[in-house]
Amino acid sequence: MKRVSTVTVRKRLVAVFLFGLLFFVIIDARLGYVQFITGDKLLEKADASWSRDIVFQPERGLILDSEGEVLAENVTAPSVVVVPRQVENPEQTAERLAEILQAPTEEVLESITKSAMSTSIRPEGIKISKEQEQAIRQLKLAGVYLAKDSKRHYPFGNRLAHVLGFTGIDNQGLMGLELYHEEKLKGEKGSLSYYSDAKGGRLDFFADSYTAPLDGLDLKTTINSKVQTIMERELDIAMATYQPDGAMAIAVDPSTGAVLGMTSRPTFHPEKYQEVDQEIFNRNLPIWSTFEPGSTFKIITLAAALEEELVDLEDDHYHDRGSIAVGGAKLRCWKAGGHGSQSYLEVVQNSCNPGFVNLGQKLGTEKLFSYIRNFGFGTKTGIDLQGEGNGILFKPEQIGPVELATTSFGQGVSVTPIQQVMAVSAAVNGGFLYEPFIADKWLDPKTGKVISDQEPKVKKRVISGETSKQVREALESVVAKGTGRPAYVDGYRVGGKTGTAQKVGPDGRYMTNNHIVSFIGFAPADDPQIVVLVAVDNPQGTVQFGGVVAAPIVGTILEDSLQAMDVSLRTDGLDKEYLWPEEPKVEVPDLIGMKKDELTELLTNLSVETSGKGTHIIDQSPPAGSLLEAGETVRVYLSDKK
Amino acid sequence: MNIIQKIIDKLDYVLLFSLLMLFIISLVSIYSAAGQYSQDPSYYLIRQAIWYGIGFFAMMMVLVLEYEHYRTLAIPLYSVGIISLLAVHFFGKESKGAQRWIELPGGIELQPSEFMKILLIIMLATAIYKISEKNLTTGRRDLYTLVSVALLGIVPFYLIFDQPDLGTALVTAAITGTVLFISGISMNIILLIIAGVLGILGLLVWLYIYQPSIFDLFFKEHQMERIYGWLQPDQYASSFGYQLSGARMGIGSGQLFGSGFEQGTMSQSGRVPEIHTDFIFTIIGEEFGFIGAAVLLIVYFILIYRMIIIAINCRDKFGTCLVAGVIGLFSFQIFQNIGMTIGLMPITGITLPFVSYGGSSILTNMIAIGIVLNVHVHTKRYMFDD
Repeated sequence: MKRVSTVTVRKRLVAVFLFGLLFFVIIDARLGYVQFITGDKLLEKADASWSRDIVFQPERGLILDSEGEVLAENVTAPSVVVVPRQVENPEQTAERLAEILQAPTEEVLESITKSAMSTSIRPEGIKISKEQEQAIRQLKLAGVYLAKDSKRHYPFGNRLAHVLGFTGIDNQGLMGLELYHEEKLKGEKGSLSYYSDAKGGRLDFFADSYTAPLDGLDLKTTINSKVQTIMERELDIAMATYQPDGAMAIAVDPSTGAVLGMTSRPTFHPEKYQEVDQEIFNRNLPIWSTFEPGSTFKIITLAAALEEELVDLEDDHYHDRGSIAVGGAKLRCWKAGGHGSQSYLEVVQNSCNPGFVNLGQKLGTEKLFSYIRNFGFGTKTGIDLQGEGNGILFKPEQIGPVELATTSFGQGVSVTPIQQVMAVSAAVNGGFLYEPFIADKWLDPKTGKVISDQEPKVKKRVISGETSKQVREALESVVAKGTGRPAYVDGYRVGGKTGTAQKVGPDGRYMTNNHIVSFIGFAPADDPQIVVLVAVDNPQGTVQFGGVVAAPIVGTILEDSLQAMDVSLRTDGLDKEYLWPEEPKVEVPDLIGMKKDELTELLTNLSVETSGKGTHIIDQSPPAGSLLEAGETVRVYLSDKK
Repeated sequence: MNIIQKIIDKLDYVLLFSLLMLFIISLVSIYSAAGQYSQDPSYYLIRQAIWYGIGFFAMMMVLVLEYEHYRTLAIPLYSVGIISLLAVHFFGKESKGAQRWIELPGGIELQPSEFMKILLIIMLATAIYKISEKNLTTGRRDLYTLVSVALLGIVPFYLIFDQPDLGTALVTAAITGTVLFISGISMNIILLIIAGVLGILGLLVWLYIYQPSIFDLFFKEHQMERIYGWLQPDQYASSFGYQLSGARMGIGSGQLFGSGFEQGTMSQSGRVPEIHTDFIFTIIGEEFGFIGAAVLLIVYFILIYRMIIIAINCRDKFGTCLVAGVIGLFSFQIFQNIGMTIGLMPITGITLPFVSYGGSSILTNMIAIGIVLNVHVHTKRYMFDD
């Protein structure tokens, strides 16, 4: 044959050889990658996939209140475990189990005939009830066992639900403290590992290893269950009385930042969280919701002005004509016609908007906003719960004279309830802004020894002790003499401030007749032990004003809580009404033809009940000109037409 | 006596030594792998050794008849192969979703597709030889070669592909391609074929992405599952990626030195099905690590290298094509089999030559080596040519 073709053939054989060489290089490279680069990961996986573990579950840590009262504990609830190979009559067994567990028969049959060493029936067969347990025991079905298991139990039911949170089917924390402190609460699983082949048979040539489970730590919280119970009771009453869209209350110890109680409505039962909408358990309103604080925010303006020594509460006076012109806009006082000439203390007592605008202007944009930020607004407080809101402040470049003015009396800013509580705590506790916290101590579950202890954390000092004292006194006088009088408690020197926040509707405008009314109070004014905020969202059948709805609730909570906390009664406080001898009786004004909104003027000295629906008042009882005791009730009848 | 003496003198002992190495590796691996399949751990070991014995005998038998005489046997043998593939098609025994075996009286099961590989090599080499002997212009010769090789290759390819046994079908394609390449056909034609194959692959990918309804006409869901299992073994670890993810986990955990004989976690726990046959490489990778796998690869490399040398030394086109076919057969099977266990290639049911357990496979591979040795032994050496 021709030489040329032999050369070609040889060349091609060399090409084939090089090709083969390339294949070997590729295989080697890939093999090196699999064995060296991914090897460690795969080794771990391989070990995990063939060692069979008998898991020993740790006990989840308890959650206790500050006195040691149990808020969350574990109760035994067995789970059904089936060993498919031992089941004698799968159809019959499935039918019986399905009936007891109220599960679909086909699914049970599928679970108990799986080719596995042991199976469970999820979720119906996990953590079953006592009755189910007994029924299954009596049947004595072959291959069906009851394994020891535990589930979370919350003795207080739907109380404190948002704070405690809840756990899932594997006892894993899903919400609230249960989630936030999952790592410490859950403990470490123990196991007895033995190695098996794919069929579940035991491989004897590898040693078994036993690791004991490590129980989770017990969590002692700052929650005072007595205070919590009082708050829950008061919110329940408020819900029944006003049928609002929602309500919330927070109580903290202003001298540490420890949260004494926290609750919101609507609430849920942590053991049955699936029965309510996600929104209900996801939203812990006291830390999640943001809204305009309204007048409670005036405390910050007041504290700033006092700290900067811009005003003397007793000696300086301000004349309120009912409105104030700012940057071309006219900002009204809530009282038509204005409060007239008043000292700045009276400005505070009357919650007079133009007076506060005046204070804000004295401070100027930079100072006012610097105080607002220092008091913690616009940033998360850092409380040990998930889902905290930031709140919204005006951006520096947005602030004109109007924004400065409205911010001074609490409009146009958006804050969370916990921010308000911490800021007011700082204003009354001598000027220290604390980080709020709930987890106080971690205890060894066996010995009860304290393993770690949370020290109160001061974030910064915002005002001086002297300024703080003046703020306390001013706020005490608001309760004794001003808009906060329904919160007055004999002997406990309550201080506080009302707030009525307008809500922004879906269209971006303020809604009419839909407010969040709030009151933030503290006591005793000489040495505050507790700060309480109550907010009620859109109360019905009343005038939506903080002094009317929220102040009395706070008053009751403060009184009962201070008694429960064994705080001694004071004798040197301001007296209610003593300073109002010239007004023993109030003349009922002519209300017919007025708008419902204008009723707020009356509220310093009379309370109002409404009948019917609408915006205009068509009748009143008693008639105009009657004399009533201050605080007595006027009933008005509403209609849409005049 | 004379012939046998000549054969013994001229045998390629490097090649035979690498076979011995593979024999040892095979027995060690099968012993370690087969424990989970039977009570008697040496059940498969003994059978594999017996098959090696039978295979060695067959190899020697192949050596007796000088390879030039294969040409006269080519057509009848090829016909028998095709007929038995047809027999499988119509009367074959079904097992694991495929018809690959015919049962002979006496309970012996044969897999004709294994032997078809050899018969195809002989047939292709014969056809190319015959065409090259004719006095033709280069163009005509190339055309005849292309047409006859294509026809001879496509019939067994289709019959095997239809069983379905994609792996072995691809092996026949690899054999056909290698032989055609070595036949000396014009480079342009080869480039054209490569372009054509790439074009079809590209078209299939395009169809899969943009015209899935047309794509579905050609491929069934279970065939695609293999591709999915290959590309994302972990995602499909509980279904069709099970074998691969198990194998990869095992090989990966072997790392440099391996976990030791009978100590492989994945291998011993039975999580890699067919570990004594198609997935035997898992044992080597896991229990003997990168070093063990590298030793095996080097032995294979020596095997292929020796065959290339034999092909180069052979002056006769028929012999060269025979050896080239065997090279194509082994190279592809080794690459495909190891490649699939480490995720380089999709999973197909083909064996790792000389290592996997299986009679048909050992016998076929031994006969193939016999052919190569035959070419080596009977290559005439010219005094002034080397």
